[in-house]
Amino acid sequence: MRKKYWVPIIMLILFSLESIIMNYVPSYFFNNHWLVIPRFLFIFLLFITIFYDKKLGVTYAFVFGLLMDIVFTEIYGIYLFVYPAVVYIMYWLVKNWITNLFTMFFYSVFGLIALEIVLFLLYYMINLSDISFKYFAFHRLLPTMLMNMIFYVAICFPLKKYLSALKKLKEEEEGMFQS
Amino acid sequence: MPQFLRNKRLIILLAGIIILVALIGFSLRDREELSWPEQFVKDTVGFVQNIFAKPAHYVAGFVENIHDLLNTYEENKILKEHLDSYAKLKVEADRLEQENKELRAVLDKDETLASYHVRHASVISRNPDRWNESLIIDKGEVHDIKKDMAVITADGMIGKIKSVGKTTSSVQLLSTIDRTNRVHVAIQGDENAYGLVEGIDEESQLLLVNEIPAEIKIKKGMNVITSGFSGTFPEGLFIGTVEKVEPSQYGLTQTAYVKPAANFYNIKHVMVIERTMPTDKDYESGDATGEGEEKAASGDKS
Repeated sequence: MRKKYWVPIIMLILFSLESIIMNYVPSYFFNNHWLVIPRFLFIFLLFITIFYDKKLGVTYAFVFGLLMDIVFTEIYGIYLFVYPAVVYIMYWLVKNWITNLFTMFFYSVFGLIALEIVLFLLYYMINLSDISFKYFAFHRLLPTMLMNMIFYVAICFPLKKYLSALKKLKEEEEGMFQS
Repeated sequence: MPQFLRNKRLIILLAGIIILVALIGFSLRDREELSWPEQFVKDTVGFVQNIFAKPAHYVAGFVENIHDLLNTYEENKILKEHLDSYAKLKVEADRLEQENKELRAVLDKDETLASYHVRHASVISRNPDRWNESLIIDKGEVHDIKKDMAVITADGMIGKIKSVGKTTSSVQLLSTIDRTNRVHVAIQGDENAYGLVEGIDEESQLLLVNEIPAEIKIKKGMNVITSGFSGTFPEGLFIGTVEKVEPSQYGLTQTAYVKPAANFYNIKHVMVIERTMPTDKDYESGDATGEGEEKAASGDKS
């Protein structure tokens, strides 16, 4: 039972980590020309939606999207829309496909690319960015992918184990109510 | 696809897009103040992030110290070379300051556009998505921080206060591309040239200074400082040095590419600058002169 309550706490930790890491990583390694954007929270959201509970995943995407908008962008509707939309579409795409850690790797890559491109288009539309798509692809998208994939490899095994345990608990509970 | 776009879902999707557009439009306008729920959420998140940020600061500081130690010998050599000229400069600056003070006393004017008060703050976190460059700092309304104050590091100006919560506030960096993010600057030469900082050129990482009159000759290496005429910032905050100049599209003005003096990355501590002279806002609210001095007194204490 207790295990369930770790989900929001982990999300909060990842949310804080994302923004604090930003302060230290880039200029040490990348000379300001390669921008990496940590998307730990988004990967976690994908994991929850695909491996555990779709409704919960989309709800969390909505809540943390709102949090992102209030705290950082101050433009309501950007993450509020993008997080739930991309998470839901990813779920819908892969729901009949095989999901294991290996295929999940590619789903995450695809989800991240979709997220970044939608964000790029949104900011481009409201005139808050003026970089070309080519520059965006090579200097933002590519390094972002690399960093997040390293994160994925580091976290996927314990996370999968944890979520499987959660799912088992949930199924047992549901079984209890049915009988 | 047809399954995905069933009637109900299609309607939800369309309604979602309409709401999205409305929300974005609503929040893009220039707002004076945050509402209290926003302030509450911001402060709470700031508090939680601070718990993680403090140890991170220590670790990063330790790594940096080691890095510094390794470079000590090289740096020492360079610094020794500079030392002589600094002494000379110091004497000259002291003399000029003294002279300036005396002349001011003659004129009966103690405040200039350049005088300001400093408040120190630490950076808690940074916007992870790099489109909207902003920092969260650990001082807010209770520490007398107000919207539109200038924010600097030891090297130079980095941005301005975008919004203020009770105990945290966010800083919008100069590198953000936003039509409300403009700073009036002076390029120092025989005759000052004035222009506007309008965001950053992403590919070269140089700030763009537009609207400089075409007839003034700008050379590489000239210093760029805030002009103080914009009514919000004090005069003389260092921004950077000119790297190259290009005529604008129609040839009426020119654009200077400025290398920022401050590093926009890896910022740990910042100073929030409040100018002593009354700002535009004070005039708007009607208490121009008296309030400035009162604030100055409270600023000294903090």
